Amino acid sequence: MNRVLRHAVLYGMMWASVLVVLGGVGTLTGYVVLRGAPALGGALFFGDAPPLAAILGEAPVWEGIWPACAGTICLVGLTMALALFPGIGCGIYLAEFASGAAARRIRTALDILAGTPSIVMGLSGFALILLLRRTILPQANTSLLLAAGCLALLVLPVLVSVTCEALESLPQELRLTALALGFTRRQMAWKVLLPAAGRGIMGGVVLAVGRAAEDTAVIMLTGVVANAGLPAGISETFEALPFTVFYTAAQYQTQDELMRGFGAALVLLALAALLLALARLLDAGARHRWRRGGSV
Amino acid sequence: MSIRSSRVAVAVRQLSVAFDGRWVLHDVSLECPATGMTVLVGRSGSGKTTLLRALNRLNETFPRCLTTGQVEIDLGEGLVGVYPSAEGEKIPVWQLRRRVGMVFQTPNVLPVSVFDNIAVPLEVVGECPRREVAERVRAALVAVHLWEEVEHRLDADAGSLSGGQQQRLCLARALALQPAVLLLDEPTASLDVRSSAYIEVLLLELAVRYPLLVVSHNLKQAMRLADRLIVMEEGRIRQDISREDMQKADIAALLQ
Repeated sequence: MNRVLRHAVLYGMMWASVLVVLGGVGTLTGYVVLRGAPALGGALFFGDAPPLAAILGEAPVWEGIWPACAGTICLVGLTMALALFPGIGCGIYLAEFASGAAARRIRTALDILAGTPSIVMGLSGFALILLLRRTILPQANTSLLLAAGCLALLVLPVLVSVTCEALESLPQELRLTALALGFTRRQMAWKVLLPAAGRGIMGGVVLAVGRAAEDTAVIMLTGVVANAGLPAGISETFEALPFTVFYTAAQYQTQDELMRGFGAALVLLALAALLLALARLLDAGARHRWRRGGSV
Repeated sequence: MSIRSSRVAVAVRQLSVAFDGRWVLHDVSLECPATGMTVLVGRSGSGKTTLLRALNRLNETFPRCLTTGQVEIDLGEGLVGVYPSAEGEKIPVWQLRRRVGMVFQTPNVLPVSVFDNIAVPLEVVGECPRREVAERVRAALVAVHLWEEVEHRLDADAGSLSGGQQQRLCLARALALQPAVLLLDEPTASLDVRSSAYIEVLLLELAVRYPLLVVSHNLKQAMRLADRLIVMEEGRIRQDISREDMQKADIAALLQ
């Protein structure tokens, strides 16, 4: 009897845990969708401005989130441009070439970087600008480039570890085959392993893009503002979706503004969900490929 | 019929190999002629695969491997030592492996198309001029009787071929690099009877042109194929039997 009771309690707790998770996610997305959906439409993005002219930057957008969307796209693009090469490169080095001691040191550095709170990353970017202003570059200011640089540091550990894992999870037989064919280690890494791990690495890139798109703490201190319009250049301030959501929630004055905030939250949520789905799809594709390959 | 020639293509001299301080091969010496099939048999753990992998220095890709003794292979200009030694010049390991073709127990196709499985190693390792690649891929596929089966699906994923076709593709990949020696590690172990028979016919054809060293798990197969049978036990060569003596020797008893 005692055992049956214990079993039932454990079973009940397990289901309760599942419900808490599902309930939490459901309430959150349900709330954002319910409040944000009515705001969706051309007006949410462009306000009163004609859409085509607004997209081309010919008409200013005063009451829409298009500048924030454009800012997020530029920010993410620049972040990935800065982070992709060192991230994937470091991953390849770590998985294929680093000796034991070097690998341990790099992994420790990456762990520290991965564990750094994003607000600290933003603060260090802000401190860098202060230092530059006082020393060699008095006109330095927070900007798109600085924000992208700090975000690149934030997503770097994700890129490195995903690249490393994608390479390490390749079957040992593949390496043996390449070596037996006479590939040098470098040729093997570039011509055999990297293409084979490509989909796994792509999954990590998408995750990094999602992380860069949704982070607020870093950009708050490094260049995002509420009313910058479309991004004018990498040394200018900019708008971004997550900051628009934050700013509207804290400072809204009319009901319309609040609705726009919810709309922006929904757009951001949809963007994140889309990226996550894409990452899953790529990952599943990579696994499927190996199972079908029949390698032991 | 014996197709053994008198020229020596592979000479193994006092070869010993250890992994993690445990000796797997003990003082093995062996010579193989320039054509014909030498088949290695023995129970699992007798050192057959290690001996095979010592010839293209593949054992070294595993951690804590120690090799002593020497292996000499004729890569076209007489016998050269493959392991570094005080006297003779040392050939780069990638160059050695390029000229020593190897086929594994499970068909290890690269995760690319049928064409690229041969073309990529040809271009990268074989330094084959781009305009010659297509022709050499075709020639290699013809040599393993695979061309007619894959002619219209060269762009298909190599993993979509049957096991037997994949193994022939691996053989074609090795042949495309114009090997001096072919090493085959239980090439039919993962195949069905029909595919195995096909590979066996292919190996007999190749044995006329190349020196073949084949590890076999199947004694009947070994007897069908071998110009010479090497029986291994606990890392040593127990018997070295020529084709002529094969009928007389009680080989089954040797493997007990």
